[in-house]
This record gives sequence, structure tokens and C-alpha cells, in this order.
Amino acid sequence: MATLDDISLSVEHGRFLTIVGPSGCGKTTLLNIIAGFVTPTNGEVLIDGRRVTGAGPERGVVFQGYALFDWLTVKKNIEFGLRMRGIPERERAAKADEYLALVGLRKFSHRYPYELSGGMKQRVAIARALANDPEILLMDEPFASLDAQTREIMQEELLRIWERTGKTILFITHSIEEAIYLSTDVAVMTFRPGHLKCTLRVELPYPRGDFNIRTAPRFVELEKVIHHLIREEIAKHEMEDE
Amino acid sequence: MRWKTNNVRVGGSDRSRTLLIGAASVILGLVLWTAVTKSGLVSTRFLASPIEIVIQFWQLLQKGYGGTPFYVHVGVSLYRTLLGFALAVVAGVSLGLMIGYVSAVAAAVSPWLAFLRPIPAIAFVPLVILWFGIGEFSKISLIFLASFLYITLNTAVGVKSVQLQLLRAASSLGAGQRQMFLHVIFPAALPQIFTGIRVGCALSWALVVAAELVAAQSGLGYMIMDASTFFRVTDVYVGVITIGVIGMVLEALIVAIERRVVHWRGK
Repeated sequence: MATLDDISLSVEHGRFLTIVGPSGCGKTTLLNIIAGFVTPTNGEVLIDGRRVTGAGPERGVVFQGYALFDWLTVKKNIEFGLRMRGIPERERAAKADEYLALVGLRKFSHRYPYELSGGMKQRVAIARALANDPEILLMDEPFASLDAQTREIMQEELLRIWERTGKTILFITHSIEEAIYLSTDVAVMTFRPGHLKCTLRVELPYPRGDFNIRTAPRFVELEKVIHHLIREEIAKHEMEDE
Repeated sequence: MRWKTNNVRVGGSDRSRTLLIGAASVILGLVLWTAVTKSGLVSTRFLASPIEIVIQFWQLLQKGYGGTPFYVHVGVSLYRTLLGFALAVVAGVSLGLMIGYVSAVAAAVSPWLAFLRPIPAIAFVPLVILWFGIGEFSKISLIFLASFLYITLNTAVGVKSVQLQLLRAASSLGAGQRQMFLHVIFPAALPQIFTGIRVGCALSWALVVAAELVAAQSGLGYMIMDASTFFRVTDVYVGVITIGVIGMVLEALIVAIERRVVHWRGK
């Protein structure tokens, strides 16, 4: 159970917004509500003035646990959304090939998910969501279960894909470093009831492929600021508990 | 300190080791069995030796049993089992899918299943005779009963345990209810459905003897019962062993199909 206060979240087209916050603050609940997976017991969710009543292909989702279809090949996984929407087979295959190439998995198109490593599985999941051409890509801690090295590579990959496709991305993580490295904007959530404490702009130039950026003064400074903001929330919560 | 590894292998020959121990165990068992029968510790009226059984098997193959060729006995038993079992698969998977998918169906059917499940199919033998008489229909319905509930339950569990994330992923990709069922729920439940089918087949085959107690004139069950009435012990052994071997073959067949169809299982 998580309670979310009035949250008004706006993200401009083509930007990369990341939500960070203390664990248990409702980050994932917020994403699930935006995705339309859970209906709020009270209140309503509006996206561009339209009320959210369920999941839909205009909001692509990437999960921490990949959520790939094990009985389908990599290519068929990527085609899934197009197939559901009745796109003819040839068009589907062409689209799938395009996104296979984008995530660098052309050689693996006929493999099954269980034959791939965690990083590769997540590439498939990203390609699957993008092939459907959503307005926004929702990502719920997508790299949390990857090892540190793979995680860094995937972050760089994601930025490259984002720059290539120009998609709007809403990203959830508990890693402050990941948030700063990826985003144009970082939103910090408060503890119960969860609402947005503040949103910060990350004024670091793209492309950020270079590893050195993670040690740049501006980067480290932002890390401290956000770290402090989250610590404040945790401290408040601990005082309430006593 | 220096470490050096040279052509190190971990694990490996486990499979051949398992096979070797298995083969040794079987051979030892047969030797012991022969020794016991030869020593006269147990009368041959109760325990036939493996060699006698092989000879008798050969005899049955040539002369048949009770005026009916041996392969007909085997064929009739297989026919009854496979027909009853196939009907159980169709009915069990359909009902199981409904139970797993429609909660109202689950609520309505669950108390009946909970009650029926602990009753062994063999307990229905007298009732089935009472209801349907002693014809083929009775035998096939008993075999059907033996696996139907098991297949139903496994299918229902398979549907219910589909990961929520898969359903969410599919709906965010634009899948409607019907598509969700066809393209996500059914394939995701398939490994569990196959477990039901595999064990169900063994249950059905195991019941063929009991089903053929019902005034049968042919079949392996009939042969075993008839031979025991006339104290033809070796024929009883041949029948029992044939049932065991065919059961193994059926299982191996289903496992082979399962590996092909649900290739992702356990990976």
C-alpha cells in the first residue's frame, strides 16, 4: 500500500525525466498508475487532460524483470505489440529488424530469451517497447538487477537510443548517480504521502558517453544535493516512527 | 603465492555416471532375482525367474493368450487408455483454463474438485458398472476419471501462476482480452499443463488393469486377472512387466514432446 498525494508531473516532449526517492515512497506505484496497471482507489490520473483507464500502447513499459515472452524468439518478442495491433507481417518484420539493429542484437534475432544474458534481455525489452512507437517510455528500475559493469554499458546504450529516437522517457531508479547520468530532469519524491519534493534540471551536455562525466565537479555537486534531499526525507520518516 | 590452472573442468561426466550406476543396479537386481529363484528359497509357484518370464513372453507372442494374440491384448489396453486419456486431456485442459481464467467458474467448481480429488478412480469401479454397465464405455470412463481431475487442476494452477508482469507487459503493448488469453496466458501456462498431461497419462495407464476387471474379454488387465485365476504365475509376471515397460515408453514419448513444445521450461 502506498499513498500518493497530489502529484502533478509534467515532462516536455523528448526529455528524460527520472524519479528518485527513498525506498517505499511510491515511485513504482506512481509508474504503475501512469502505465494504467493499477487503478487508484481514490483520485484520478490525467495524462494531457485525458483520464487514464488502463494500459495502452501509447505508454511503453520496460520492467526490472524484463517480462519477455519465453516462448517467442527475440524477433517475435519485438514484433509482439505490432502483431497485437494487426500490423501486416512484412511490415512487422521490417520494424523488428530496425529495432534489433538499434539495440545491437541483429545476430540474436532467432534466439530465445533464456539464451540471453540479463543486459541483452533488457535490450530486447527496450526494443519491444519502442517498436510499438509509444509517446512515452516508462522504465521501472530497468537496470537494477544487472551487475555494475553491464549496468554502466546499458546506461550508455539507453542514452544513445534516446538520442537516436528522441522519445520522452520517464525513468525510475534509487541510484542517484544513474539518475544524474541519464536525465535532463530529476524529480525527488517525498516519503508518505508521496509527492514531488522538487525537480532539478541537469545542466550537463550530451552526449554523456564519456565515463569521465561521472566525476565532473557539476555531477558530483548535483549528487550531493540530491543525496541531501533524500536523506532529509528519510530522517523525517524516522522521526515520525519514534 | 602463484596459481595456475590447466584445463580445469568442473562437473562434467555426471550423466554417464548416472547411467552407469543405473545399468549396474538393474543388472544386479536381475542377478539377485535369478539367484533367489534358483536357490529354491522362494517357490517358483510364487516367483518366476527372469529367464522363465522371457521364455513365456516369447511363447505368448507366438501363441497368444486365451485364444487372442498377445499384440491384440496390448493393443486393446492401449486403445482404451489412449482414448480415455485423450478425452481427459481435452476436457481437463478446457475446464482448467476456465477455472484459472474466470474466477466465478473457479468459485463454483472448486468445492466439487476439493471433494472429488481425494477419491481414487478405482473407488468408482462399482458405481461406473452400475451406471454404464460392463461395456467399453465403462472402462473408458474409468480411465478418463483417473487423469481428468489431475489435468484440470494443473491447468488451473498454470493459468493462475502466470506472472503479473507478463500480463502487464502484454496489455501495455496493446493486447486485448482475447489476445492476452491466446498469446500470453495459454503459452505461459503450457509447462504446468504438460506436467498435468504427463502425470495424467501415467495415472490413466495405471488404471487400465482395474478398468479391465470389469468383465473384459481382452486386454493386459484381463490377461493378468485370468492368468491369476488359473494360477498361471509366469503369465501374470509377463503381463505386469509389459504394463511397466509400456508405461515407461509412454512417459518417454510425452517427455520428448514436452521438450519440443515447452523448450523454455526450467531455463
